[in-house]
Amino acid sequence: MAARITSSRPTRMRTAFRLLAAAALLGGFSCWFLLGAHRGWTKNQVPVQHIDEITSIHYVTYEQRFVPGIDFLLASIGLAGGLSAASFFFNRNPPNPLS
Amino acid sequence: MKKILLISLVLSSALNAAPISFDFKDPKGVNAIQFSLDSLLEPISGNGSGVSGMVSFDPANVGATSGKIVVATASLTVSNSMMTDHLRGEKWLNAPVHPEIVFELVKLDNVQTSGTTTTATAAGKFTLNGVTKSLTVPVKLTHLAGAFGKRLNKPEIGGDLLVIRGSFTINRSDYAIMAGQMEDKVNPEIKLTLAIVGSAPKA
Repeated sequence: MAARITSSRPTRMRTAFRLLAAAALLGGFSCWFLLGAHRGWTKNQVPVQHIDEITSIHYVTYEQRFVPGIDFLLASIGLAGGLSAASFFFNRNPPNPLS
Repeated sequence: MKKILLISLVLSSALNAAPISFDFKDPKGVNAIQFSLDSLLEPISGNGSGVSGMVSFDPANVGATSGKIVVATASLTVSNSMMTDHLRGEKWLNAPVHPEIVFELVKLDNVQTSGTTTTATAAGKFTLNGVTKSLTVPVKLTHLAGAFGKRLNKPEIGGDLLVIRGSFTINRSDYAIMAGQMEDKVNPEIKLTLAIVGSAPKA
């Protein structure tokens, strides 16, 4: 019984890491796509243009809003890759201590 | 009696011709200097809204305009807070050590006035990151007489406005800002644009 638990644990860990990797990849891409698919840098405040009527000066105020950029997407891919690579540390068939 | 009238007329015209001091700490908080520099993914753009300073402007003698515009380094902001921290940090503009970006107007050249608008070349000293260099900037000045109160929705208050617009490009290495470093990622040229208004309320 104890031998069965020991042998199934790495398999579950490997699966968990791969699922996490897929979630990071899918979550990162969905977040980036749904929040505007911005192809520049990630923003956490967005400039809003205004005009002063009397002077005709165009000025900017910042609105607190998160807009993920390409760097965010790359970080998600990196995280997914890292988790996926980490899953390989858990062997599918650990050596049998009885053999 | 005629003499008194003549003296008062001369005095009043002399007073009208006196230079007006415009305060560039805007009560509506509109004033800012915009900056933009090209980078790997897209241009990094932002602004510095902590504008202050005084400009002495004489509508009858625009060429004699003098003054100083100051931007607080700690007010420089971009759309990404981590980039903003880097920009104000030790490696870039070092805001705690160099808290002010200053343009001190020495003289106006090539002055051409048409109605309320004057175009000229402003020659002055520009200080950034603790480095001061001579600089010429093409500027447009618009004198809006009597517009101070109207802008604040208080037309009963008298006073003038002076709008200054200009645009120029500097090289960050000239001002010891990461000179020669990261030029493949962040362009060495920085484009600066200003559109600011000064107020001179009448007491």
